[in-house]
Amino acid sequence: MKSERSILLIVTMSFVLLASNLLNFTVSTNKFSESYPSTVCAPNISGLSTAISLTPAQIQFRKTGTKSMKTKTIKVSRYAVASQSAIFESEQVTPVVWQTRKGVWAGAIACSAPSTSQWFIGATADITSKGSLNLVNSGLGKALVSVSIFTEKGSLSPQEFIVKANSYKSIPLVSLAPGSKKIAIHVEPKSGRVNAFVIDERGKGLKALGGDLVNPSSDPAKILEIPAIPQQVKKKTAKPHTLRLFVPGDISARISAEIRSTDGTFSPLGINARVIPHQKVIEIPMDFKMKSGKFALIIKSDQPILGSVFSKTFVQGKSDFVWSTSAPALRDFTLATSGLSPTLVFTGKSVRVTLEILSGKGNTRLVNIRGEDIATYKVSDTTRSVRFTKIARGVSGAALISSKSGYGYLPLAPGSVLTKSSIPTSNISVLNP
Amino acid sequence: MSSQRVTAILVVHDGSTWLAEVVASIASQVRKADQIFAIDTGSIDSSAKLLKGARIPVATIDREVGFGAAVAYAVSQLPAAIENSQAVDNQEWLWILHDDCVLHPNALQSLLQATVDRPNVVMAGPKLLGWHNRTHLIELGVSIASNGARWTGLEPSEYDQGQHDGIHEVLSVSTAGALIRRDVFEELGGFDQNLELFRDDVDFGWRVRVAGHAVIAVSDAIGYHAQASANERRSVDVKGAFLHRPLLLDRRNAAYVLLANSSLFALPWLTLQLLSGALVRATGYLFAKLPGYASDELLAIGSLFLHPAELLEARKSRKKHRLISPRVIKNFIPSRTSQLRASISRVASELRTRILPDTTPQESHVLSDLEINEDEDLLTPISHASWKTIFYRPMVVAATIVAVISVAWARHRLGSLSGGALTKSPESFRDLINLYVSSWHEVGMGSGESAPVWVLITGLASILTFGNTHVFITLLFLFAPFVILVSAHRYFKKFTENGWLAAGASLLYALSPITIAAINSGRLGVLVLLALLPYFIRQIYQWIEVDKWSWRGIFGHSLFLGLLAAFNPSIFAILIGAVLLSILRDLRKSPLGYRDPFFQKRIYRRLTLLLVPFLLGAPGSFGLLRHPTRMFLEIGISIPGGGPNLAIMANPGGPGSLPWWCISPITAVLILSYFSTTAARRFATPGIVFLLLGTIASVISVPGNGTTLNVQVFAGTFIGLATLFSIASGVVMFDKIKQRLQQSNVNFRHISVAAVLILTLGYSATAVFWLVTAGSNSPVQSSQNGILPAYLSVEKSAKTLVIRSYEQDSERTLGYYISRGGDITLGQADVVPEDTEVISRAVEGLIDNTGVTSSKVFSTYGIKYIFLKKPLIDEIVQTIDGLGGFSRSSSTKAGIVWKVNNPTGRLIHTDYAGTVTILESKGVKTFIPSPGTLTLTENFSNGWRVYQDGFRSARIKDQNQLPTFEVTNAGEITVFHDGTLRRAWISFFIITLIATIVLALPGGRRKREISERELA
Repeated sequence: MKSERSILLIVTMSFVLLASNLLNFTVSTNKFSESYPSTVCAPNISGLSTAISLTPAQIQFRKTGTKSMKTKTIKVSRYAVASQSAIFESEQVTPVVWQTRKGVWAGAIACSAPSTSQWFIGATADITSKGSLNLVNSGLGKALVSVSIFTEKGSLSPQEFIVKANSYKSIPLVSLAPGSKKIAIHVEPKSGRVNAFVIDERGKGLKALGGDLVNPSSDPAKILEIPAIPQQVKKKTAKPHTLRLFVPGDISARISAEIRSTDGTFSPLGINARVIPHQKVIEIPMDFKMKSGKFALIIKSDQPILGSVFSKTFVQGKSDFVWSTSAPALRDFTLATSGLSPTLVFTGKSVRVTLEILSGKGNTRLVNIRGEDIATYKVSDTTRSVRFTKIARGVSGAALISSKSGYGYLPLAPGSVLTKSSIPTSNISVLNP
Repeated sequence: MSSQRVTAILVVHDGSTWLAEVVASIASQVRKADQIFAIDTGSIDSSAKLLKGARIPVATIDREVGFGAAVAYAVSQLPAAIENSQAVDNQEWLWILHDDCVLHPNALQSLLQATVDRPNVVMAGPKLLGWHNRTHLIELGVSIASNGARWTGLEPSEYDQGQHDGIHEVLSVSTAGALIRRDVFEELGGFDQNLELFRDDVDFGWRVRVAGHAVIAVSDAIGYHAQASANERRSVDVKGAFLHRPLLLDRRNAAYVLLANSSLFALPWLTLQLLSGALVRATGYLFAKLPGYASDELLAIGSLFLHPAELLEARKSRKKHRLISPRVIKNFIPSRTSQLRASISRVASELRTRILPDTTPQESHVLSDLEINEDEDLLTPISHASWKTIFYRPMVVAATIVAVISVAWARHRLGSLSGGALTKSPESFRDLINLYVSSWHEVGMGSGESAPVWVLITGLASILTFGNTHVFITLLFLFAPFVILVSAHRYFKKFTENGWLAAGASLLYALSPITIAAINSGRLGVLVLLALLPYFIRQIYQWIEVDKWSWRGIFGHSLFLGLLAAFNPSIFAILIGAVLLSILRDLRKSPLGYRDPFFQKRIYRRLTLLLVPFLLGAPGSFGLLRHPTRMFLEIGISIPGGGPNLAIMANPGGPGSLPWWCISPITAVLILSYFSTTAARRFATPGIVFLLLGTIASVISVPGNGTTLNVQVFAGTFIGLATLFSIASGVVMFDKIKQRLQQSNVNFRHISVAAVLILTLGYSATAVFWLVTAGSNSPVQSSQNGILPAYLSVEKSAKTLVIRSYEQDSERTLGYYISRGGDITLGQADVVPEDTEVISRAVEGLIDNTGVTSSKVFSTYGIKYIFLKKPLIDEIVQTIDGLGGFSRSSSTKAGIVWKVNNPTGRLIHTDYAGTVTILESKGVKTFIPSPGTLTLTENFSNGWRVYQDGFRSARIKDQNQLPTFEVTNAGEITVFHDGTLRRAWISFFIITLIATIVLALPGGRRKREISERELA
């Protein structure tokens, strides 16, 4: 009798527990929306030419300067913008802006999704400066943007700018920090869909000294990787480089540096163990010549730090300069390269990247990049896009682009990443603390 | 004294039961009456024969003649009054005697003696004691209260110890044994013959007093009165006794006496008092299931007011004989304070008797003198227990443990509570009652759902804390472990004589996983269930043999089940299951099938137990028929449970519940006691059933209150029942276990007991550790900041769309709801309307960047602001910023507020030219600037009404499903929600509740049903 009861109890409890666990799946009614935010490209301001590299696929786009959010479809591999800023629904493809002042300078920057914080380590606001900070508001509501400027003397009071709906505002750098030679800019939109772009254009009287689009840096980090710094080794008049650093925190940073090149890896003189004072923009000359055409610079710091390298370039008889900014770890994305033919530079202890190269004819071929410390790959003229896949850990990259007008640098980072947002559901508990 | 002449007048009406003794008492008087005269009012028993046998002259008159008329007839038959009878030494007295009142032999002598030195006394009465119990005082003088009650100034069944002895000036004395001076009697016209029976004594005394004479009660004269007519020991046949109802006659006469004798100025107030008193008493009689008495109360007043001429005549006649100010009787009418004091004293005495019944044996052995050792008392030491021993009492120790743990556990719950399933409490209990009675609730887009009964109960219970709901809820959660401890102890102590075992078991129940989860996550319903369950659970054992329950018991339990189900809808699920299974079982066992009277007896009772709670919960309970899954929802905000693996360990899981590593002994005890040979198995079996049902229930996911999300069921009710059964089985099993274990060799019993003890100790240690550390940081906390920033709360009429991120199923997700200027409060989660799809889509558009028209939708529905609560998601901020149609109002540490650009409000007026105006309203009134349409940005309901100039405006449901009205003229309009249907439901609830209470209450007894012994 007792054993019957035991069996009955054990069987019943086991069955209930087993059945309950099998049936214990909650039908989640949470809804999520996955999308690539639209990317916003640098505006074409007066006197410049802007061409945006795209893939041949159909892309929805619109421009600022209108009151409508309506998009149009285009199917071109390169789009020339006459004015304003272009906004693309380019999904996983990152369009690239190639901006030039004909015969004077050139620069490259990726179109990117609006951001709530952007750092620019580069440009000058001294007497030679003809550059500007361009704030693009791609939303239909007005935007309030806070701009903080840091100079060699310290920080300046933040300034706030209102940018009208679906428009851009160009602010001369000299008006932000008059007379400052070394500047760093922090753009923080308080409201609105805002992208910032910095043009560093210089001239002395009528003499043009070149220009570049300063790419935004990643957030301050203890390790900076600047994957590609161009070195004009074949020219007798190879120009030196200048490292610009900025410690945004409240504690000064002690840094060390490592240069990776095809010539080898070494620590440059005059940088290691150097203390970088906080809240001041510091420049360190890098007076060395590398045999190879490009090299990478890795900076390690005990405090979060930002930095970039200013390099003078000389291409096709044209002097220019370029700002090589830090790049985040490389991730899977597609870079539109139509008409750019960039040189891709990858750095890392062990470089392992597979490139899916889409040609103009629509063919795709795979290229495996393998190397130690640094590896380069020159993309052909006919290539429309390059997708980076199968990326080893710790690899970052940048693209160097040259043209008749000048030299450009582009960190390899997606302009827009897949964003998963929860679709709100009606739930009264949101009104309960 | 010897010159005083006394004529005894004995009025007889079917009094043979008492008459022999009465006659004997008259004959045995020390001071004999000079003359005896009996009036028989048509007795149909042997009264007349008895009188004749006693040689008392009898006159027989009509059976319908009243007492006053009978006495008047007797007086008219007497020889003429003695001349100059006013002289003290030459007075003639009438001694009025009842056939149910025995007089002590000294009675007449004492009465006469008392009048000798008091020449102004014209009426004297004896001290009246009970007929059956002759130590109980009935009267020593009588008066009338302003509500018509007969006032004696004595406690009910007061024991006569001579405490009231002496000669007292009174308003009047009972006519039973009253000595009245004949000349005054005749001068005043005798007893008022409109008062055929009852209250004629008070009336006569009143008239005597205002005529300038005195009335005394003499305690040396003693009478034993059966009060046969008043106690319905004989029929009342007087002409005026409508339907032979003594109570009706008494009440009518009481009102007559007051209205005929009182001053003119007092009449309105007296009339009001009489009416209200009659209504209150009638209600009381209805509750006591004595509708006859209730109707007597009302008919008495009605019949008096139907004959105003009688009253006018009576007042005229009294005015004629009134010689002194009517204020002379003021001292004899009991003040309201005295009446109130007497009522309180009576209620207190009744309560004392019920709470502390007299346990002393009614009959004590009579000891012979030989058995009594007088020195023994002196030798017996007097027990003086030290006050410290109170701390060794098991329940004191258990309560102290709970108190010590609570100090740390409840440290974040001292103040206004909210969080988890518990919403903020409203300011006052009136808000809860308003929520219950309102037909429209401003929640979300507005709701016409009926508020559940628990809202009303909680509101009324808050009166205990002077209407402060915050304090009530805080105290409830703070003292919940103590309340549960005490209620459990009442139950467990019945199974064991070991106080420590009962207290330990109660402690385990008070700190069980289900109790902890209920307190920490703010589950008000489960708390109420846990506290009340021990009171109810005893009856469950007799569930099978429900036919043995009285109908009163059935209704009593239905009421209790209704209360439990109001706080825990899952009680309905259990009830339906239990009733259906029991009916099937009964049917199988009935030899005659469904025609079996035994089966029918059971089914009626079972269905009553199911239907009455269902009706008490109406109309909310009817909603369960449409959505049966809602039976598994808790009241308040739906918070998920922890799933089957925790449930099988008697831990309901979910936010605020014990972590998995606090393993309670509940399940282990159930399993062990299931194999026990003791009675413990009786508890273990249902315990295991409920535990398994709880495990299964915890798998179910149902849409929660006010959300479209599925929420895993919190199996609190099932686990609560399983916990109680488990602990009860443990108490039964461990009772006297020590002795049993000592008597046997080490076997599995020793091992299992040790295992349970170790598990219990382990649970105690881990649970207490968790409670005082992480457990105190529960979802329910005090002084939590409101969701809306203060500046949004100012605009009460504005709707604000609140978007907030929260964690669900380990995912960061977003929720939204429409706020009406504040956080949600208690009860509102249970009346939320269904989701409005258009608004949902517009909100979706805010997130996925497709909401170009979202701002237009929001303005259409009267949503003025969007509030994105922190922590913020940058992408969403950018999207809303970029969509257009919104402008940022503020960005603070609370979050970001956008204002919808299009003008909007609660009332949107569109004239025929298409001009839109937002109307401001003052209460229900607003002004229409021009003819057009008026859109109310509330959910559509048939109850919405707009009145203009007394006419109802045409109402339609527009394309947005909003109520829209055609307003033809400019001017003031009234906008309101018609609550007729809601009022009908409330009336239905009140009727059902009162009917159930009446049927559950013990029935009152008519006086004729009360035994002589009880009547004294």
